[in-house]
Amino acid sequence: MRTRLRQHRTYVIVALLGLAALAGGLFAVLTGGGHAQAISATSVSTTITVDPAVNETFAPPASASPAPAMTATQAFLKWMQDTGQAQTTIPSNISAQLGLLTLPTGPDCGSECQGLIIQNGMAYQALNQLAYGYSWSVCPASSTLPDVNCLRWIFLDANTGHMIDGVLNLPAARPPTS
Amino acid sequence: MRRRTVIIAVMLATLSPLVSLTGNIPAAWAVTCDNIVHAFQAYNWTHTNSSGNDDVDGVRAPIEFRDDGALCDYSAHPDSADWITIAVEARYSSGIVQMGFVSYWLGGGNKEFCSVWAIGTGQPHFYDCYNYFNDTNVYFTIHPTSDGTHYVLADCGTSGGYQVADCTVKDNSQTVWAHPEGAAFAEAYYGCGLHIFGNSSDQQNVGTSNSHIQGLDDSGTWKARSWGANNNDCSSNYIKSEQNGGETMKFYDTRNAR
Repeated sequence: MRTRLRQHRTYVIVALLGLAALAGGLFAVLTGGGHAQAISATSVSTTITVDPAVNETFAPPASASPAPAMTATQAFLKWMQDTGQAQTTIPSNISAQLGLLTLPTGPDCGSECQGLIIQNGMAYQALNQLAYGYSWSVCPASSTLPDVNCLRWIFLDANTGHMIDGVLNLPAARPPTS
Repeated sequence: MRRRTVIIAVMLATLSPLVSLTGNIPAAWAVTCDNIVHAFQAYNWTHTNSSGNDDVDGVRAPIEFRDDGALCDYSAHPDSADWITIAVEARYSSGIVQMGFVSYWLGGGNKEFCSVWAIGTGQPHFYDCYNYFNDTNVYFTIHPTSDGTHYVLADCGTSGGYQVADCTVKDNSQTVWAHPEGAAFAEAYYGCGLHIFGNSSDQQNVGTSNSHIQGLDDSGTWKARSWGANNNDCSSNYIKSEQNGGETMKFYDTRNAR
């Protein structure tokens, strides 16, 4: 009986240690601690037109001192974890800005537009949503393209870390028509 | 006995964080690419109404989410990408509306697989990255708004159909083309070194035996259509086929191992 009790106590200790370690690993990912490289976000200073074809804009925050629930590091690492990324560091070539993202979808389309934001006859995926915009250049060193044409973007909700939109900025092309 | 237990406990404590950090890790496949070109494997559908006007109004299909393929080496071509989409194109200009899946390099060289849409000659917008298990079918639809003036691009998820309640509109701002035609294609940016999705034993499906790729014309009826193979870039490695007269399509790359 005494041996069984000791075994039971040992199993509890092993389980607690394992759980604590798991929690530690998760905490490190979510908080940007551990091996994570911190990234600091600057506020958008002037409105950026991310994709003129759909009037997507990234504007300065409404207040001088916005206080989102997550830091730029926390939001990005959570997103990477959500998308199954192995690494726990933020690539050094990615920069972050904090601003208000607006992504219209088009005219109000009635019941089809369920779940979208409707305002003044227009539907939006995001309307002045406080977001972190992460960008990085993908042009080879030899590229002569303007910098703005080389940027890729990922926008994450600054309070939840949920992805709102990403923009690839690829040269326009399409398959030949028949 | 106690010493052995302590050893096990220490091992668990040491390994558990690694387990938590390495779950669901995709490999980052990269290949050498030299030629900077767009490459396509495409099917097209054209149709005219009784007046002889082009009347391809919409295309819809379940598209299989595949997380294979390979992008060009990140250090040389960080902007390489490939995708599989359905589309409605303008026959005599450069406009296109399209939806499907894309893979691209995240900064630093991590490969991502995401849903994607694009309109006009604008930029591809991606979302829902690694949102699905490999081989999951996701339903996409492109069709006119109720007044027939714009295209609706909607992601209808995995529920198995196109009910409005299951769909999320990603864009409805593109005015309809005067001369539209349907398309379904695999595309590679940076040419033939890059691998499109699918391999010979697990091909990239567009449409399923139960839910075909369908086209909509002025009759208002969605149904399977007759598609023509348009071009054949990188034909030694990029393979496509259609089944049962265009009910489904399959694409794959001969170099993919899975």
